Amino acid sequence: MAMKSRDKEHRRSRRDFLRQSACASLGVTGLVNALAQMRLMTAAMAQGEGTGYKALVCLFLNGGHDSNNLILPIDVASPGNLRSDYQNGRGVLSIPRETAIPLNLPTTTRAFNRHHGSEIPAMGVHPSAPELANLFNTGKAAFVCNVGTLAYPVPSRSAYTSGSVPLPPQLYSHSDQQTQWQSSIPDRPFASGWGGRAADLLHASYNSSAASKVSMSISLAGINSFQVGTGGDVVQYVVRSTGTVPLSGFNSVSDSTDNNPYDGALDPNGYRIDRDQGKRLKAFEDIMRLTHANLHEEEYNRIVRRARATEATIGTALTASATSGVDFNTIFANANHSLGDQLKMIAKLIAGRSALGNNRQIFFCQVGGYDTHQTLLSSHANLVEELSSGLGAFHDALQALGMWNDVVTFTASDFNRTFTPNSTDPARAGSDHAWGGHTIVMGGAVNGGDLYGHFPSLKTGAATGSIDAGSTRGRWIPDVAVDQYAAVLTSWMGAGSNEIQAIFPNLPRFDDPFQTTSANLAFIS
Amino acid sequence: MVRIPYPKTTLAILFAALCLTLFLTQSRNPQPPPPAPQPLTATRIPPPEVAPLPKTLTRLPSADLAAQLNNPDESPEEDLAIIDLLLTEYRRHFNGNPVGENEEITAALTGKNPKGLTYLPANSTAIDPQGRLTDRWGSPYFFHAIAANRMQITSPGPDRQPHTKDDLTLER
Repeated sequence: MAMKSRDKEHRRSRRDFLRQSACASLGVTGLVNALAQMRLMTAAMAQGEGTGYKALVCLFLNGGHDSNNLILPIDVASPGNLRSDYQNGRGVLSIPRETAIPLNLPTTTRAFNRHHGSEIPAMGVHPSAPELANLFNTGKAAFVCNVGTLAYPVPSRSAYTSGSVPLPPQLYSHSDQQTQWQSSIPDRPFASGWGGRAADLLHASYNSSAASKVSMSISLAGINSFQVGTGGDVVQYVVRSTGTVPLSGFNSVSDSTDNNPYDGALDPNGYRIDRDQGKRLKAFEDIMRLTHANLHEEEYNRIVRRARATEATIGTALTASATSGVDFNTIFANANHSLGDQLKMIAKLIAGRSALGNNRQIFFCQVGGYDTHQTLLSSHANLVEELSSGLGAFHDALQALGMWNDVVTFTASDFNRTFTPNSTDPARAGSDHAWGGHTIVMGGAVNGGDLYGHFPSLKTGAATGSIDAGSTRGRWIPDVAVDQYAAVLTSWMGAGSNEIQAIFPNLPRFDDPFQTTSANLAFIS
Repeated sequence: MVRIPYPKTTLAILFAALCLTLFLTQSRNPQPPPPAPQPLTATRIPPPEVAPLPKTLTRLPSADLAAQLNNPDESPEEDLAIIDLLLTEYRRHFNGNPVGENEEITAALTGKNPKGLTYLPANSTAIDPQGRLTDRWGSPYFFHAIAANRMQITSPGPDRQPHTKDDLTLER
């Protein structure tokens, strides 16, 4: 045993040495080269190491979530207090304080220190989010306030209006802000997502190449920027809420509604050579097994072969999930919508994780409809209901699987929306593109039941204390950079400080989210 | 009293089972918890200096075209086409649209940009006292930023109410 202990110490010091070497390389090579070097080193260091399972789930709210009405002050309005600022700014978009669901904030919360002094206002969540309120009030979920894309910290409204600090390009533009949120490097052309860069390193460290049968990056919402890596070692794998994306044309014509997309071509014993579909599939797969001198043809065949092999693996995982004893359909009965379907599939893949063979997994899912330029009150209520019921069901499924402590789910969106409405008609009014907004994090590892980051001042325009970016519309200058938020999540997955610096090259521009208490980002144990 | 047959064999089997259990447990979770994060950097990297906006403005030929905005002899669709042309020109010079609310986009078009280029005269009658570019009915246009090279431009139309049937929208 003493010998083993010395071996471990020796191994650690070797790891430290290699990591230091990798860190030294960051200053002289590009991001891609640094990541490639670090990947090789972490792979070498990880030899013989295993670990418990951890999964990170990114839930992207496409269109720009108006989180101003997700968490809101619910005190009685009095001149100058937060509720008064809320009502004055939101106008016809205000949620009545009586209908919001109260949050039990701890007296130790620091989320109001920066913009509101020591007084802790009463806060609530949108009335359509009872599951989310329950998760928060039972310590299972938290909100990180005023997060957004930043190239450098913007300390004040005057710094924004004077143009003294470089800003992320194309602020307030859907496509650009989605990409920047997912890359965390707003001031460079897109090359990779932070989820992809994290997967590049964590896969090498934590997943055994012999055991891994599917990509560490699985998307329920098609190809995305978040999971684009740098080296090609971890390629995002897309599944649908109903299962894999199969080859088309091999389903039984008479039985098109079943879950077996190959039942026209295959039976339990192999190809149905009595049918054209069976003959076609056999011929296709024979062709895919051929080797080609042309690199393009060879790569195409390799991708198709990998997709077919992964299909089988996913099928095995789903079969395993069906025998887990967890009734997913019942758990998600009240989340019968696009988000619920995606989260249900993620829960099933987590249930069947042993078939996938990964110790670390990153999932991406997405829902749209958040670009609420009009009829915000009604449409946002539906969106929040979908979000809340989906997260609630996902929590229940993970609890039933005994995996709650091993999965962290977080939200992201293009941007928050303007605090002020774009119309005085409550039936038609909406909100427009803005900047910093509030996110949700949930999981067993989350220090739930608290607000993190800094709840913004709700004063608009040039009012004292306003962090309104230039305009009078209430576009909050973020207090927390995406880099800081994402670094905390990635650290939980097992990335060390040098890997964090490689994944988030802009992070040194901001307060250290792990060491700077005033950053208030200790939302994960 | 119960007599255990072959006590040495039984003990050996039990010991082997214990070792196997320990081995399996260790091999499932041999990874020590990640080390506590170390400080990332001793000091924060400061932002670089940003060059001030130029004081001298350069009027572009498109500024003459902008004089045709809200011309009663032309159509509202023509107005949208002119604004689209101004934005296209801007994108050519700055690799992306001007950003922000109407008044910020209008300011960028009238010269508040890193090269001091004027696409739209600051004294245009289409600009209201709040600095917003307005349609021929006096309502500010709504600029919906889709991407760096895509902008949806909407006029609230004759009824001057946004999000109604008579809205006019152009997206390129």
